[in-house]
Amino acid sequence: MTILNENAPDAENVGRSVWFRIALIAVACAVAAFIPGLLPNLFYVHIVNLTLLSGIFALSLWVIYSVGQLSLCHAAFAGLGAYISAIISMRLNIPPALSLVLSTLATAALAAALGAVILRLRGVYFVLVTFLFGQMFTLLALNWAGMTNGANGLIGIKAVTLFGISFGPRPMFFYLAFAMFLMVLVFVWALNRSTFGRAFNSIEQNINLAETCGIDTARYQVIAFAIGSGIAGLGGALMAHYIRFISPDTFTFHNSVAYITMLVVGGRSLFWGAVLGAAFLTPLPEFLRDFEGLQHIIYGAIMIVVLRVMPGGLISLPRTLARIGGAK
Amino acid sequence: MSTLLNVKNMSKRFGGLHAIKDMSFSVEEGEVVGLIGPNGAGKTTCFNVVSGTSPASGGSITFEGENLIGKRTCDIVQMGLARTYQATSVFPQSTVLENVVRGAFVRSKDSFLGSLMGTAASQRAQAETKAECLEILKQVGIDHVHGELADSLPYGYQRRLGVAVALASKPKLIMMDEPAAGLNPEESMDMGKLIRGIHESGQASVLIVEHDMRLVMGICDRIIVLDHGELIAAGTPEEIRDNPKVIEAYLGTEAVS
Ligand SMILES: Nc1ncnc2c1ncn2[C@@H]1O[C@H](COP(=O)(O)OP(=O)(O)OP(=O)(O)O)[C@@H](O)[C@H]1O
Ligand SMILES: [Mg+2]
Repeated sequence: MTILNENAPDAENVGRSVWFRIALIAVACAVAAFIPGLLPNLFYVHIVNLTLLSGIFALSLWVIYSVGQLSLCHAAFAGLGAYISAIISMRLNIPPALSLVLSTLATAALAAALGAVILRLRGVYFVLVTFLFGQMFTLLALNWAGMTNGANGLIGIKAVTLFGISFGPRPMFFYLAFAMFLMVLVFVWALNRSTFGRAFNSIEQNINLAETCGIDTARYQVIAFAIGSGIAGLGGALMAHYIRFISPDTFTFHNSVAYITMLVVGGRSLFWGAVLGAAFLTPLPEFLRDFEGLQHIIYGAIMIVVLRVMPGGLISLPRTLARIGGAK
Repeated sequence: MSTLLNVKNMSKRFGGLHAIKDMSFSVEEGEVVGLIGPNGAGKTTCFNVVSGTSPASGGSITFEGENLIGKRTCDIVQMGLARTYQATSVFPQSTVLENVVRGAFVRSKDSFLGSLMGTAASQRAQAETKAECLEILKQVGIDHVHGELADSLPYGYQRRLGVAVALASKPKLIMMDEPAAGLNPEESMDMGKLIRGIHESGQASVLIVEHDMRLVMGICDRIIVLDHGELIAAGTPEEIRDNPKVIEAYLGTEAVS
């Protein structure tokens, strides 16, 4: 009977945990408010901004990973969102704040259409097809010059303006990026606990059994792919209105691999791993600049060490420490 | 008594291999029907075709009068036709209770938006589902390990968990593929009792594939026999036991004198 009581809806408990989470978010916001002012110079603000965007990419890739699929075209959807938002804001004069929303929805819709076709494949076949789609995107961005301005890219993309405030300057963009990151974080967290999250995880663990539980595995895989890719589109669009220049080189296969690396190094089991991976790997190359030629070697070595010591990723650090401590 | 499952002239080919030829049978409400046959006879294939995992090559299949051909597995489950797998099949990284909750996924009153926002209604719906699922765990006799990961359960418990997951969808007919495979005689007896219990409480009808003849003879109202994809006999356990064709299929021609 204790079990039942534990799970019984206790209005007071529910209320309390909601307030606890709101308080947590409020504290995070309060701390964030001072971050741009505390950083030594604009370069650091820029790194933090890029890290927040990476966090959005890694989290959104985790959503797709949560149905057990690994997408190698995540950067392509980020690029799609970036190009759509840049083009409609420049050509149709749509305010960037609105084009961000529109490009997110458009990217999600395109991902749903692609996903409905390719999500029958699983494992390495799915990975290969997403790789090909990523390459197709790059070729399209290069060759559809009338729309994308080809290899020269699009310049002069407008900054996001809301209520007369421009989020163009780096410290200002930080607030926008932080708000968006927090929104994505809370959304992914809630999604993971929702009925969709339960379906996603069932599919990841045992797709045949999930289907015999009555879970429409085809539909939920498309939903996860569309949500994940849509959020990547949002991140890409934010990037476009921040850097204010995009080209086919901005979102390539290498970026897709970088997002996967963040998941693996951070830890795939929990979505916090994605956040950790982004927070660790985005600034890392910048701080290795002093080592000149050795930069990439050190970067690779750090990754190998991390994965060697913590196969579960950085997220498993407490458990690894506990194990080491216990062994002594 | 009304007909639940009605299979007519079902066939299944894998390339050149005719795994099921012209198979016809039915399961009535309230029955326990055994499907037996030597290894490779096509029993699992029969389950796969009926449950929609593998498309039929011909014939018709209806459940409560509704056509099943071309329907997807998830839709067939929602119509009230559940199945278990020959190999143990669970969600290994989830708790035992969570496994059963997933089995009840389509029945849950929880909504997507409610669960996304964590509303009180959603929490209530989840608690209700959990309470129901604990009852099911009690029925299969593993409620005391409800909080453990499915992965860490002993084999016998994993097999029962498989049955619990299937029961959670509140099926009208449950198809069990060798539920007692790999169990010791005592566990096998318990599994038999569990299946009888499912039947006697009027919870669901049962179509069972099983090699353990003692179990099959003990719990089935009717038995059908498959050999090389063909239905060679049907009848009560007594009739099947003495049927020369069945003995031949199991022991080879020389055994029949
Ligand atoms: N996906 C498949 N592709 C090709 N052949 C298959 C496939 N599945 C089953 N078969 C073949 O169909 C025949 C029937 O197999 P099935 O698994 O249905 O037998 P079974 O009666 O369940 O046997 P067992 O008692 O060993 O479980 C076998 O010859 C098998 O090799
Ligand atoms: Mg079989």
